[in-house]
Amino acid sequence: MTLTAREIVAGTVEVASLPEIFIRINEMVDNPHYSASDIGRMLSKDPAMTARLLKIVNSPFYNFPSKIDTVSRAITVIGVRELRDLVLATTVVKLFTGLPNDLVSMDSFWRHSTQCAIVARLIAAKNRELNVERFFIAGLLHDIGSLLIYRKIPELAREALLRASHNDEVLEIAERQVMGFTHADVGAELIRKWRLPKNIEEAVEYHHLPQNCHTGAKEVAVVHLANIITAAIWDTAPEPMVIPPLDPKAWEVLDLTPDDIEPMVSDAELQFEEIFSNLFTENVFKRSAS
Amino acid sequence: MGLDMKNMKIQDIAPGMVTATDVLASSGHLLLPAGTKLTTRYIRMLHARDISYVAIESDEESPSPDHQAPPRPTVVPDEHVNRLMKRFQYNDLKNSFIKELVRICTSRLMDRA
Repeated sequence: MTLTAREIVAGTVEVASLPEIFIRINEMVDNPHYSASDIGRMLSKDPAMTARLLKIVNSPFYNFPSKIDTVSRAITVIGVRELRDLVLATTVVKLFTGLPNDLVSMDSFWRHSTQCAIVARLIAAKNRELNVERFFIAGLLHDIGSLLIYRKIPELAREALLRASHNDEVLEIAERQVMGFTHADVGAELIRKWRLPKNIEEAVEYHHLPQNCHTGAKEVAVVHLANIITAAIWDTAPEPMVIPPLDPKAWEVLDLTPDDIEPMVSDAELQFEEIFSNLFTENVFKRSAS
Repeated sequence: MGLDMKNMKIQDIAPGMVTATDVLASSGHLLLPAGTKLTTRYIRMLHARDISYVAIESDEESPSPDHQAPPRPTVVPDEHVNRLMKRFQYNDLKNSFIKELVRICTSRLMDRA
Protein backbone atom coordinates (compact mmCIF):
# COMPACT_ATOMS: atom_id res chain seq x y z
CA MET A 1 0.00 0.00 0.00
CA THR A 2 1.54 3.22 -1.08
CA LEU A 3 0.80 6.67 0.26
CA THR A 4 -1.04 9.35 -1.70
CA ALA A 5 0.46 12.68 -2.72
CA ARG A 6 -1.58 14.39 -0.01
CA GLU A 7 -0.43 11.97 2.70
CA ILE A 8 3.19 12.54 1.73
CA VAL A 9 2.81 16.28 2.18
CA ALA A 10 0.83 15.92 5.40
CA GLY A 11 3.44 13.55 6.81
CA THR A 12 6.44 15.81 6.26
CA VAL A 13 6.06 18.09 9.27
CA GLU A 14 9.38 19.88 8.67
CA VAL A 15 7.94 21.68 5.64
CA ALA A 16 4.22 21.58 6.45
CA SER A 17 4.02 25.34 6.83
CA LEU A 18 6.07 28.33 5.78
CA PRO A 19 7.89 30.19 8.58
CA GLU A 20 5.98 32.85 10.53
CA ILE A 21 8.11 35.68 9.15
CA PHE A 22 7.08 34.94 5.57
CA ILE A 23 3.40 34.66 6.54
CA ARG A 24 3.56 38.03 8.32
CA ILE A 25 5.32 39.72 5.41
CA ASN A 26 2.86 38.20 2.98
CA GLU A 27 -0.01 39.73 4.98
CA MET A 28 1.71 43.11 5.20
CA VAL A 29 2.26 43.21 1.42
CA ASP A 30 -1.45 42.73 0.80
CA ASN A 31 -2.49 45.28 3.42
CA PRO A 32 -2.22 48.93 2.27
CA HIS A 33 -1.91 50.12 5.89
CA TYR A 34 1.67 48.93 6.04
CA SER A 35 4.49 50.93 4.49
CA ALA A 36 7.80 49.84 3.01
CA SER A 37 9.56 50.73 6.26
CA ASP A 38 7.11 48.59 8.29
CA ILE A 39 8.02 45.64 6.10
CA GLY A 40 11.70 46.51 6.44
CA ARG A 41 11.34 46.50 10.24
CA MET A 42 9.63 43.10 10.17
CA LEU A 43 12.36 41.67 7.93
CA SER A 44 15.13 43.07 10.10
CA LYS A 45 14.12 40.48 12.73
CA ASP A 46 15.91 38.05 10.46
CA PRO A 47 19.29 39.70 9.78
CA ALA A 48 20.61 36.77 7.71
CA MET A 49 17.61 36.99 5.39
CA THR A 50 17.94 40.80 5.15
CA ALA A 51 21.61 40.51 4.21
CA ARG A 52 20.86 37.86 1.59
CA LEU A 53 18.06 39.92 0.07
CA LEU A 54 20.22 43.01 -0.20
CA LYS A 55 22.93 40.94 -1.89
CA ILE A 56 20.40 39.69 -4.45
CA VAL A 57 18.96 43.15 -5.09
CA ASN A 58 22.49 44.51 -5.64
CA SER A 59 23.41 41.76 -8.12
CA PRO A 60 24.02 42.54 -11.82
CA PHE A 61 20.59 41.16 -12.78
CA TYR A 62 18.94 44.28 -11.37
CA ASN A 63 21.80 46.50 -12.48
CA PHE A 64 20.91 49.49 -10.29
CA PRO A 65 23.34 52.39 -10.61
CA SER A 66 23.88 52.82 -6.87
CA LYS A 67 24.15 50.44 -3.93
CA ILE A 68 20.90 49.60 -2.15
CA ASP A 69 21.56 49.24 1.55
CA THR A 70 18.15 49.15 3.21
CA VAL A 71 15.09 46.95 2.74
CA SER A 72 12.76 49.94 2.42
CA ARG A 73 14.91 51.30 -0.40
CA ALA A 74 14.93 47.85 -2.02
CA ILE A 75 11.12 47.92 -1.90
CA THR A 76 10.95 51.32 -3.57
CA VAL A 77 13.15 50.16 -6.46
CA ILE A 78 11.95 46.59 -7.10
CA GLY A 79 8.43 46.83 -5.71
CA VAL A 80 6.84 45.19 -2.73
CA ARG A 81 5.51 42.12 -4.57
CA GLU A 82 8.86 41.32 -6.13
CA LEU A 83 10.45 41.63 -2.71
CA ARG A 84 7.91 39.25 -1.22
CA ASP A 85 8.76 36.71 -3.90
CA LEU A 86 12.47 37.05 -3.18
CA VAL A 87 11.74 36.48 0.51
CA LEU A 88 9.75 33.41 -0.48
CA ALA A 89 12.60 31.99 -2.59
CA THR A 90 15.12 32.38 0.21
CA THR A 91 12.65 31.03 2.78
CA VAL A 92 11.85 27.87 0.82
CA VAL A 93 15.47 27.15 0.07
CA LYS A 94 16.33 27.46 3.76
CA LEU A 95 13.40 25.23 4.75
CA PHE A 96 14.46 22.44 2.41
CA THR A 97 18.18 22.42 3.09
CA GLY A 98 17.24 20.86 6.41
CA LEU A 99 15.66 17.94 4.58
CA PRO A 100 18.45 15.83 3.09
CA ASN A 101 17.94 12.51 1.30
CA ASP A 102 20.12 9.62 0.18
CA LEU A 103 19.00 9.39 -3.44
CA VAL A 104 19.95 12.59 -5.23
CA SER A 105 22.55 15.19 -4.35
CA MET A 106 20.96 18.39 -3.08
CA ASP A 107 23.58 20.31 -5.01
CA SER A 108 22.52 18.97 -8.41
CA PHE A 109 18.83 19.18 -7.50
CA TRP A 110 19.07 22.89 -6.64
CA ARG A 111 21.36 23.60 -9.59
CA HIS A 112 18.71 22.30 -11.98
CA SER A 113 15.93 24.13 -10.10
CA THR A 114 17.87 27.42 -10.07
CA GLN A 115 18.75 27.13 -13.78
CA CYS A 116 15.09 26.50 -14.57
CA ALA A 117 14.09 29.48 -12.39
CA ILE A 118 16.53 31.81 -14.17
CA VAL A 119 15.43 30.66 -17.64
CA ALA A 120 11.75 31.01 -16.64
CA ARG A 121 12.41 34.57 -15.51
CA LEU A 122 14.27 35.38 -18.76
CA ILE A 123 11.44 33.94 -20.87
CA ALA A 124 8.89 35.94 -18.87
CA ALA A 125 10.92 39.15 -19.25
CA LYS A 126 11.28 38.57 -23.00
CA ASN A 127 7.53 37.96 -23.21
CA ARG A 128 6.97 41.25 -21.32
CA GLU A 129 5.22 39.68 -18.34
CA LEU A 130 4.69 41.68 -15.17
CA ASN A 131 6.32 40.55 -11.93
CA VAL A 132 8.97 38.25 -13.38
CA GLU A 133 9.99 37.07 -9.88
CA ARG A 134 6.81 34.99 -9.75
CA PHE A 135 8.13 33.03 -12.74
CA PHE A 136 11.45 32.62 -10.95
CA ILE A 137 9.61 31.12 -7.95
CA ALA A 138 7.54 28.80 -10.14
CA GLY A 139 10.73 27.56 -11.84
CA LEU A 140 12.57 27.20 -8.54
CA LEU A 141 9.76 25.08 -7.08
CA HIS A 142 8.80 23.00 -10.13
CA ASP A 143 10.44 19.79 -8.86
CA ILE A 144 10.03 20.45 -5.12
CA GLY A 145 7.72 17.42 -4.78
CA SER A 146 10.69 15.16 -5.57
CA LEU A 147 12.39 16.13 -2.32
CA LEU A 148 9.38 14.95 -0.33
CA ILE A 149 9.15 11.71 -2.32
CA TYR A 150 12.87 10.94 -1.79
CA ARG A 151 12.42 11.55 1.90
CA LYS A 152 9.13 9.75 2.54
CA ILE A 153 9.14 6.80 0.13
CA PRO A 154 12.81 6.37 -0.83
CA GLU A 155 12.44 2.75 -2.05
CA LEU A 156 9.69 3.59 -4.52
CA ALA A 157 11.50 6.76 -5.55
CA ARG A 158 14.64 4.73 -6.28
CA GLU A 159 12.62 2.22 -8.27
CA ALA A 160 11.12 5.03 -10.37
CA LEU A 161 14.55 6.60 -10.99
CA LEU A 162 16.07 3.23 -12.00
CA ARG A 163 13.12 2.41 -14.21
CA ALA A 164 13.32 5.77 -15.97
CA SER A 165 17.04 5.47 -16.63
CA HIS A 166 16.86 1.79 -17.62
CA ASN A 167 13.95 2.21 -20.06
CA ASP A 168 14.85 5.75 -21.19
CA GLU A 169 11.50 6.88 -19.86
CA VAL A 170 10.51 10.35 -18.77
CA LEU A 171 10.67 10.30 -14.96
CA GLU A 172 7.06 11.38 -14.61
CA ILE A 173 5.84 8.33 -16.51
CA ALA A 174 7.98 5.97 -14.44
CA GLU A 175 6.70 7.60 -11.24
CA ARG A 176 3.09 7.15 -12.29
CA GLN A 177 3.72 3.45 -12.96
CA VAL A 178 5.57 2.83 -9.71
CA MET A 179 3.77 5.13 -7.25
CA GLY A 180 0.50 6.09 -8.93
CA PHE A 181 1.30 9.81 -8.75
CA THR A 182 4.20 12.08 -9.67
CA HIS A 183 6.57 14.64 -8.17
CA ALA A 184 4.42 17.29 -9.87
CA ASP A 185 1.32 16.11 -7.94
CA VAL A 186 3.19 16.18 -4.62
CA GLY A 187 4.71 19.59 -5.37
CA ALA A 188 1.33 21.10 -6.24
CA GLU A 189 -0.16 19.64 -3.06
CA LEU A 190 2.58 21.33 -1.01
CA ILE A 191 2.10 24.70 -2.75
CA ARG A 192 -1.66 24.43 -2.06
CA LYS A 193 -0.96 23.73 1.58
CA TRP A 194 1.29 26.78 1.72
CA ARG A 195 -1.49 28.88 0.15
CA LEU A 196 0.80 30.33 -2.49
CA PRO A 197 -0.75 31.89 -5.62
CA LYS A 198 -2.77 29.54 -7.81
CA ASN A 199 -0.60 30.28 -10.88
CA ILE A 200 2.49 28.93 -9.10
CA GLU A 201 0.58 25.82 -8.03
CA GLU A 202 -0.51 25.22 -11.63
CA ALA A 203 2.98 25.77 -13.01
CA VAL A 204 4.27 23.07 -10.66
CA GLU A 205 1.37 20.67 -11.24
CA TYR A 206 1.41 20.91 -15.05
CA HIS A 207 5.07 21.48 -15.85
CA HIS A 208 5.17 18.18 -17.75
CA LEU A 209 1.60 18.29 -19.09
CA PRO A 210 0.61 21.90 -19.80
CA GLN A 211 -2.17 20.63 -22.08
CA ASN A 212 -4.04 19.44 -18.96
CA CYS A 213 -4.24 22.96 -17.52
CA HIS A 214 -7.24 24.92 -18.75
CA THR A 215 -6.79 28.28 -17.03
CA GLY A 216 -4.23 29.50 -19.58
CA ALA A 217 -1.80 30.67 -16.87
CA LYS A 218 1.39 31.88 -18.56
CA GLU A 219 3.44 30.44 -15.71
CA VAL A 220 2.52 26.92 -16.89
CA ALA A 221 3.80 27.44 -20.44
CA VAL A 222 6.91 29.31 -19.28
CA VAL A 223 8.00 26.72 -16.71
CA HIS A 224 7.29 23.89 -19.17
CA LEU A 225 9.64 25.48 -21.72
CA ALA A 226 12.23 26.50 -19.13
CA ASN A 227 12.41 22.93 -17.83
CA ILE A 228 12.96 21.54 -21.33
CA ILE A 229 15.66 24.11 -22.13
CA THR A 230 17.37 23.42 -18.79
CA ALA A 231 17.25 19.63 -19.25
CA ALA A 232 18.64 19.93 -22.79
CA ILE A 233 21.41 22.46 -22.20
CA TRP A 234 22.81 21.68 -18.75
CA ASP A 235 22.83 17.94 -18.97
CA THR A 236 24.91 16.90 -16.00
CA ALA A 237 23.63 13.37 -15.43
CA PRO A 238 26.20 10.67 -16.29
CA GLU A 239 23.52 8.52 -17.95
CA PRO A 240 21.58 9.85 -20.91
CA MET A 241 18.47 11.32 -19.33
CA VAL A 242 15.70 11.88 -21.83
CA ILE A 243 14.39 15.37 -22.40
CA PRO A 244 10.68 15.69 -21.55
CA PRO A 245 8.44 16.08 -24.61
CA LEU A 246 7.45 19.59 -25.65
CA ASP A 247 3.81 20.61 -25.84
CA PRO A 248 3.99 22.77 -29.01
CA LYS A 249 1.07 24.91 -27.77
CA ALA A 250 3.17 26.15 -24.83
CA TRP A 251 5.68 27.53 -27.32
CA GLU A 252 3.00 29.04 -29.56
CA VAL A 253 1.23 31.03 -26.82
CA LEU A 254 4.41 32.99 -26.09
CA ASP A 255 5.61 35.86 -28.22
CA LEU A 256 9.07 34.38 -28.82
CA THR A 257 11.09 33.19 -31.81
CA PRO A 258 13.71 30.41 -31.92
CA ASP A 259 16.40 33.12 -32.20
CA ASP A 260 15.56 34.24 -28.66
CA ILE A 261 16.72 30.95 -27.11
CA GLU A 262 20.51 31.18 -27.46
CA PRO A 263 20.87 34.69 -25.96
CA MET A 264 18.71 33.53 -23.04
CA VAL A 265 20.99 30.54 -22.51
CA SER A 266 24.06 32.83 -22.46
CA ASP A 267 22.36 35.27 -20.08
CA ALA A 268 21.32 32.42 -17.80
CA GLU A 269 24.92 31.17 -17.64
CA LEU A 270 26.18 34.63 -16.78
CA GLN A 271 23.63 35.02 -13.99
CA PHE A 272 23.82 31.52 -12.57
CA GLU A 273 26.84 31.43 -10.25
CA GLU A 274 25.95 34.62 -8.44
CA ILE A 275 22.27 33.78 -7.98
CA PHE A 276 23.11 30.25 -6.89
CA SER A 277 25.65 31.39 -4.30
CA ASN A 278 23.28 34.08 -3.01
CA LEU A 279 20.47 31.58 -2.51
CA PHE A 280 22.66 28.78 -1.17
CA THR A 281 25.23 30.29 1.12
CA GLU A 282 27.76 28.42 3.26
CA ASN A 283 28.11 24.67 3.01
CA VAL A 284 24.49 23.69 3.10
CA PHE A 285 25.06 20.72 0.78
CA LYS A 286 27.97 19.10 2.62
CA ARG A 287 25.91 16.72 4.72
CA SER A 288 23.33 15.92 2.09
CA ALA A 289 25.53 14.76 -0.80
CA SER A 290 24.63 11.20 -1.67
CA MET B 1 48.32 40.24 -9.52
CA GLY B 2 48.18 43.87 -10.31
CA LEU B 3 46.39 46.74 -11.80
CA ASP B 4 48.29 46.40 -15.04
CA MET B 5 46.09 45.67 -17.94
CA LYS B 6 46.08 45.83 -21.70
CA ASN B 7 43.31 46.33 -24.15
CA MET B 8 43.13 43.39 -26.50
CA LYS B 9 41.25 42.86 -29.71
CA ILE B 10 38.56 40.23 -29.40
CA GLN B 11 40.32 38.19 -32.13
CA ASP B 12 43.42 37.91 -29.91
CA ILE B 13 41.59 36.83 -26.76
CA ALA B 14 42.22 33.24 -25.65
CA PRO B 15 40.57 31.06 -23.01
CA GLY B 16 42.26 31.37 -19.61
CA MET B 17 42.81 35.13 -19.86
CA VAL B 18 41.26 37.21 -17.07
CA THR B 19 39.18 40.37 -17.57
CA ALA B 20 40.71 43.46 -15.89
CA THR B 21 37.53 45.55 -15.92
CA ASP B 22 33.81 44.90 -16.17
CA VAL B 23 32.76 44.12 -19.74
CA LEU B 24 29.60 46.01 -20.62
CA ALA B 25 27.20 45.60 -23.53
CA SER B 26 26.42 48.66 -25.64
CA SER B 27 23.20 48.92 -23.62
CA GLY B 28 25.32 49.34 -20.47
CA HIS B 29 24.31 45.91 -19.18
CA LEU B 30 27.02 43.96 -17.37
CA LEU B 31 28.16 41.01 -19.46
CA LEU B 32 31.17 39.84 -17.43
CA PRO B 33 32.48 41.25 -14.15
CA ALA B 34 36.16 42.17 -13.77
CA GLY B 35 38.28 39.16 -12.79
CA THR B 36 36.38 36.64 -14.90
CA LYS B 37 38.50 33.85 -16.38
CA LEU B 38 37.48 33.66 -20.01
CA THR B 39 36.26 30.41 -21.54
CA THR B 40 35.53 29.52 -25.15
CA ARG B 41 31.85 30.03 -24.44
CA TYR B 42 32.33 33.49 -22.92
CA ILE B 43 34.46 34.53 -25.88
CA ARG B 44 31.81 33.32 -28.30
CA MET B 45 29.22 35.30 -26.35
CA LEU B 46 31.40 38.45 -26.58
CA HIS B 47 31.66 37.94 -30.35
CA ALA B 48 27.89 37.57 -30.53
CA ARG B 49 27.46 40.84 -28.63
CA ASP B 50 29.81 42.68 -31.04
CA ILE B 51 32.37 43.48 -28.35
CA SER B 52 35.61 44.47 -30.13
CA TYR B 53 38.04 45.13 -27.26
CA VAL B 54 38.44 43.62 -23.81
CA ALA B 55 40.76 44.81 -21.02
CA ILE B 56 42.86 41.86 -19.91
CA GLU B 57 44.98 41.55 -16.74
CA SER B 58 48.43 41.68 -18.25
CA ASP B 59 50.57 40.36 -15.40
CA GLU B 60 48.48 37.24 -15.12
CA GLU B 61 50.80 34.51 -16.38
CA SER B 62 50.02 33.68 -19.96
CA PRO B 63 47.57 30.82 -20.16
CA SER B 64 49.19 27.52 -19.26
CA PRO B 65 49.10 24.76 -21.89
CA ASP B 66 46.15 23.00 -20.28
CA HIS B 67 44.11 26.17 -20.50
CA GLN B 68 44.79 26.62 -24.17
CA ALA B 69 41.87 25.83 -26.41
CA PRO B 70 42.41 22.54 -28.20
CA PRO B 71 42.18 22.68 -31.99
CA ARG B 72 38.51 23.08 -32.81
CA PRO B 73 37.05 19.98 -34.41
CA THR B 74 34.75 20.47 -37.35
CA VAL B 75 32.55 17.48 -36.59
CA VAL B 76 31.09 16.21 -33.36
CA PRO B 77 31.93 12.54 -32.63
CA ASP B 78 29.11 10.16 -33.58
CA GLU B 79 28.64 8.83 -30.07
CA HIS B 80 27.84 12.35 -28.83
CA VAL B 81 25.35 12.93 -31.63
CA ASN B 82 23.70 9.58 -30.94
CA ARG B 83 23.45 10.36 -27.27
CA LEU B 84 21.91 13.75 -28.03
CA MET B 85 19.35 12.22 -30.40
CA LYS B 86 18.52 9.59 -27.81
CA ARG B 87 17.85 12.34 -25.28
CA PHE B 88 15.51 14.07 -27.72
CA GLN B 89 13.65 10.85 -28.67
CA TYR B 90 10.29 12.01 -27.24
CA ASN B 91 10.42 15.32 -29.08
CA ASP B 92 9.39 16.33 -32.59
CA LEU B 93 12.64 17.34 -34.31
CA LYS B 94 10.69 19.32 -36.89
CA ASN B 95 9.28 21.71 -34.28
CA SER B 96 11.07 25.07 -34.60
CA PHE B 97 11.76 25.35 -30.84
CA ILE B 98 13.18 21.81 -30.60
CA LYS B 99 15.16 22.25 -33.82
CA GLU B 100 16.87 25.33 -32.38
CA LEU B 101 17.51 23.59 -29.06
CA VAL B 102 19.18 20.67 -30.87
CA ARG B 103 21.30 23.16 -32.85
CA ILE B 104 22.45 24.91 -29.65
CA CYS B 105 23.25 21.58 -27.96
CA THR B 106 25.26 20.46 -31.00
CA SER B 107 27.25 23.68 -31.14
CA ARG B 108 28.01 23.35 -27.43
CA LEU B 109 29.23 19.79 -28.01
CA MET B 110 31.62 21.21 -30.61
CA ASP B 111 32.89 23.74 -28.08
CA ARG B 112 33.42 21.05 -25.50
CA ALA B 113 35.08 18.50 -27.82
